[in-house]
Amino acid sequence: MTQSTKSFIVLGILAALLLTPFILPQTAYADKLTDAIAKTPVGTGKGQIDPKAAPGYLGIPGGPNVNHIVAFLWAVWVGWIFSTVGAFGGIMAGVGHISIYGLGSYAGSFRETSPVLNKVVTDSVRVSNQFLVGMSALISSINYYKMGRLVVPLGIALAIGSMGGSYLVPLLTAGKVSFKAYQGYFGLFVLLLGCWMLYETTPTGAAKKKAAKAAADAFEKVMKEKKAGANVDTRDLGVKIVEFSVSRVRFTFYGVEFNFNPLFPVLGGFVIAAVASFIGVGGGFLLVPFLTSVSGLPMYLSAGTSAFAVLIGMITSIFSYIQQGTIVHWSLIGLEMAGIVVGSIVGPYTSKYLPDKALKVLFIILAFVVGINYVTKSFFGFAILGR
Amino acid sequence: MDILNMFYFWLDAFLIFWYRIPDNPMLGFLLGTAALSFFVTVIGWYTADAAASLTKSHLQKLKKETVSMHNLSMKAIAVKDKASYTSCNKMANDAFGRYFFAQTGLGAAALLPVPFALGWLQERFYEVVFFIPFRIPKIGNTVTPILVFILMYILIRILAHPLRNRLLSAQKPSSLFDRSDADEEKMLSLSDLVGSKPDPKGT
Repeated sequence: MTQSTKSFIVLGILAALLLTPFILPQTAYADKLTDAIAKTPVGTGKGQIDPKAAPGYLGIPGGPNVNHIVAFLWAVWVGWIFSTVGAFGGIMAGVGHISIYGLGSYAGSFRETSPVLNKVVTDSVRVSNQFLVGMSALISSINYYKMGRLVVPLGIALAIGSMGGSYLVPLLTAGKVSFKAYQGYFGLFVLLLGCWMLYETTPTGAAKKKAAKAAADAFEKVMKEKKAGANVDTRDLGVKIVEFSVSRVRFTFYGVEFNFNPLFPVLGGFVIAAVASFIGVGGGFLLVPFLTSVSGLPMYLSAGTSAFAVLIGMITSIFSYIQQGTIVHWSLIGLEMAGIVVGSIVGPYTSKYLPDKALKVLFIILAFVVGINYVTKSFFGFAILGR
Repeated sequence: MDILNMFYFWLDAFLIFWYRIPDNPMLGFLLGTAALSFFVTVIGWYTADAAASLTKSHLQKLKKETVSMHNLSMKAIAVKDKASYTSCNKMANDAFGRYFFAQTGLGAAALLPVPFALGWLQERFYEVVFFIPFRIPKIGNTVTPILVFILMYILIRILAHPLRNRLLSAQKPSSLFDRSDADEEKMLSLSDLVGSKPDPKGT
């Protein structure tokens, strides 16, 4: 971060905080959760709330008390995945909230008796998922900016789309999505991811990767033999914009021509952020390959740029949910974050004993089991594993 | 009373003390939240430092792979070999993906105390909202104390940064990204290709 950016942020926040003495704290007399509890039938049966019962999840009387040890251990598993596989971490965090901690069946018990409470718990799970992934990605993203690897116009285009998607999804869906529907879409997303992972292991899917590796190896060999860089044409250095219109940006990068449609990053940012916000995942693993394939930019530029877009999208989404009264179980998130840290530390020490291929197979199986289970349960009314 | 509850009561007494110093409730809230942000920031420095030092070699390995592939792609572009550039760039992206997610888990270490602070804030100031002078569609004209905390936390993190190196002076602070060894391959950027040629021994 440059000194001027830093000063700008500091002054901006100071100004915002200095204005606060002019406003007064007020008491909100009702909130979403209190309203939802009030609308739920009183009693000790399924889908009812017994006001005398001990408070559980989110302080709801009789709500499930998430076992701290189980939550921590599950988070260690999530952290382990982050450090060994990557993309699947957010998904596994979601599976934890839905199935392992029992929040899915708890929310589901209010489907008939109190749809409002059902949706309040659903929103809490969605934002918890995203918070967990977002908070973890935040520091690594910020550090990446420090390296100054950001294509500003592209970053802005992505961020506009990303903010749109992240703002609109909570705005349009907070308090409106039942747990059943959320679980179904979550399952569908996991299933699609599983299909993609499976495709990558097929000869056709692996061929592209193999070809890329072979080409990279061949080029590396040539470079070593020829002493790379000896023939750099200094007339075409850097990025030169050849053509710029609403639908097409054509540029040369060291004399090599590339082109992309500038609407794609906005659209891509929007779609990816909307999906990420709805499901409650990061979206970074979708943005980096998207940006590289759309613009053809080198990794060190596209990665920083997409990290920026993910961050903006994530912050917008989380604020949007919280501002609309979504309640988050912060202590549980804290405990899970501690587990993620432990898992991330343990991961590198254990991953050397597990071959890449075995890991891939494990995650394909997991993706299919979770995906099919959630989809069938939500859309067809039966579940393979029960939860 | 179990040990967790005892800890919570002690923590509550300690944290609320800062909120009660000035008589003005708004000023008290700002001071208390600033103190809370500072404690959270300092604890975060230590947890992040511990996590980073424990995984140093693994991160270095992933970083090396990423930089190596990226540099190769930069060399390909320098000699106008688009096909090699595309392949190397794809490989660099794959490597970066692994590197980025390895850090994602560790990134949580720096922010570890934040959700606990938010949990305490939510419990303590559950019914408090702040009115803002403008209206955001569907959200309204109020913000929660959580927003004030997050703004204050960002501010304190930036302002307190110079203190970090002093506090962690016993050893060189381990940043997940800043660390670099003398013989480590340097990541080539656009400017490296301008004027100076890529290092053929880079990979």
